[in-house]
Amino acid sequence: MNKPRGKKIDVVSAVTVALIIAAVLAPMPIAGQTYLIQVLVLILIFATLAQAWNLLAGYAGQPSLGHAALFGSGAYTLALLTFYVDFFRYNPWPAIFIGGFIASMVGLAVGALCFRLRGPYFALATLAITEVIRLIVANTDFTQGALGVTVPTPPKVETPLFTIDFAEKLPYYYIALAIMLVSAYVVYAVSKSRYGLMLQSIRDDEDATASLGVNTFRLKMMAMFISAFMAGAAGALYAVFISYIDPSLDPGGVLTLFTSIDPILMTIIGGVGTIIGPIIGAAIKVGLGEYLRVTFGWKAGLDLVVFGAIFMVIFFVARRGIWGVVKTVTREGWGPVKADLLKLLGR
Amino acid sequence: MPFELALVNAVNGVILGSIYATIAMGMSLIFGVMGIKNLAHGDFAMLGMFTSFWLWSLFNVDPLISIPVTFALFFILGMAITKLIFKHIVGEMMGSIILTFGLSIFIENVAQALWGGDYRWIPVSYGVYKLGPLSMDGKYLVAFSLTIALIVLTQLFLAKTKVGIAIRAVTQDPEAAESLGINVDRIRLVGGGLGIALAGCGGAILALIFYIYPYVGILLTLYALIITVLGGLGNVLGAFFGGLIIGIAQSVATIQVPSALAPAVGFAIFVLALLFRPQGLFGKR
Repeated sequence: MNKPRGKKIDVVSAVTVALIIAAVLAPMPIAGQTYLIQVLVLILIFATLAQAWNLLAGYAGQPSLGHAALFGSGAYTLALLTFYVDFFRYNPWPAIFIGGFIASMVGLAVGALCFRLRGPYFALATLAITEVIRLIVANTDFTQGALGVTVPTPPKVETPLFTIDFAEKLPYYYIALAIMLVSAYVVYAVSKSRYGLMLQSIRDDEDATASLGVNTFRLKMMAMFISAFMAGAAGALYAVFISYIDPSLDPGGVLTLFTSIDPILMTIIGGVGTIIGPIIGAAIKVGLGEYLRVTFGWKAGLDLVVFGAIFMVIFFVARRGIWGVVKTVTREGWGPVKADLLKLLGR
Repeated sequence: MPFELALVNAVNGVILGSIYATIAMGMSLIFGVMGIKNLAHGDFAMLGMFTSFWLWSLFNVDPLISIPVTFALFFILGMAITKLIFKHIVGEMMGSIILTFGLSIFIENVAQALWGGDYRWIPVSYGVYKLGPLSMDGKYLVAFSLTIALIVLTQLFLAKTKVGIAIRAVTQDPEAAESLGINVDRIRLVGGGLGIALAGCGGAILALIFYIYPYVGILLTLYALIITVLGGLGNVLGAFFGGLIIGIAQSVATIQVPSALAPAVGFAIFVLALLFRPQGLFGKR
């Protein structure tokens, strides 16, 4: 009984290691293609953000519509530190951690207010708080208001052995990859731990979990702390990578509803409550988005028309998410997936 | 005169708030009959604004006349959307948020691709009226009367007609309604149609006094969401009062805070209201 299970885990870990090595080596043949690397870095950053949302919503069952507030506070922390403090202008890298930490504090404040609400009310309260934060940032001189903040390119790091030039995209790739892998591992470790099981039981039935003597509020706050740290670190890296952030409501602003919903789209496309799902989803969302932007770039908005349509089709065809479908097929065969499709077409 | 200023602001707030309320009533209706949070709702209102605009600029149709046309058009559109999309996600919280957000991206960018991102407005004039110390632009008065008429008619429809009562029955308990012989699917179709029609009409009225551009939808969706929840999810009359509260609060707040920051007051009220009365200000537990 134990043996095949052990074998299966070995296969999984072997594949994981192989994928990580592939990800580390991947930029070598395309190092010259700046645009491609840029897209890969964005995929990794948004995979981290999606993973953060996945921990809070997919595992703990708290469907936040406010992850833009966490991503944005990370981004603004780094941007403002480089703007006001000389030290960070020459070395913004510690600010990624500070960004994560500030985002965690914001997350705890949001959680303290919102975690007593359930389901749709929780989602809408987080959305409203995000909008309040966005409006305050957009109207405060300290945060440069609606102008946004420009982040200078970090200076070269020169050592006797090698030189890292941050005007190129490649160094960001490895930083983003490291942050993404760490966040995926953290979510994996949490999901396998005692706390992860408690979180999942909160997701399935909060009242029943509380009746067993679990302090559900504290657990949700813990999940929020970790999730917010990841989202904030992703946001800080995004700020230094894109080198300009602003608080507009339109797509592209770091604090807009679009930024809150992106990780949700990615996680749902890829598969909620799985580790690999958010990564697949980010690759598809960012990759497809960029591909369509290039293909339909001759008419503003047309790419997003196509994206919206494709997205709705994906949602209907793969209700369990892509990784969810793969999992179902390997475990139970094509039956349940076919049944889903027939139900959709038959009605 | 600070008092007069406050009065003017309050009156504007009532007018703007009642228009938001019309849009939110549609959202509340759709949530009521189908349990769907429609994140594309503001985009339907945006399409209503553009309908009004194009009828005026291409065929010289006065927005007053085009509003019934908009209502009919959007009722049909709403039924089509219900049949094609909404009925597959009935009662799904996350599913409806995700799918309607995809729909929202689709709609607003269709508008962007077709008409570009310019800010437009409808330069009609209905004169200026004096009410005691206040002078009011006729546009605002027209918009307000239309909104009130629309809200009263909707309320009468929901309270007095057979279909309206069936809609309320489905909102309260779809299974019990079905067991009493109500065709729930058909009621959902009508509810969806009416919900979108209210959004479109609200937009068409808003077009009289507001800028018209493709991305205005998300702003209207945000307002409609908080108004809907403030009034109690699925409670249509509550949405009206929720709209008034948000409209007045934001308009009066402009006296104290920069006008760009005023919407934050509305959202803050919303969060506070949720914390102390999670069932909505007018909802029952």
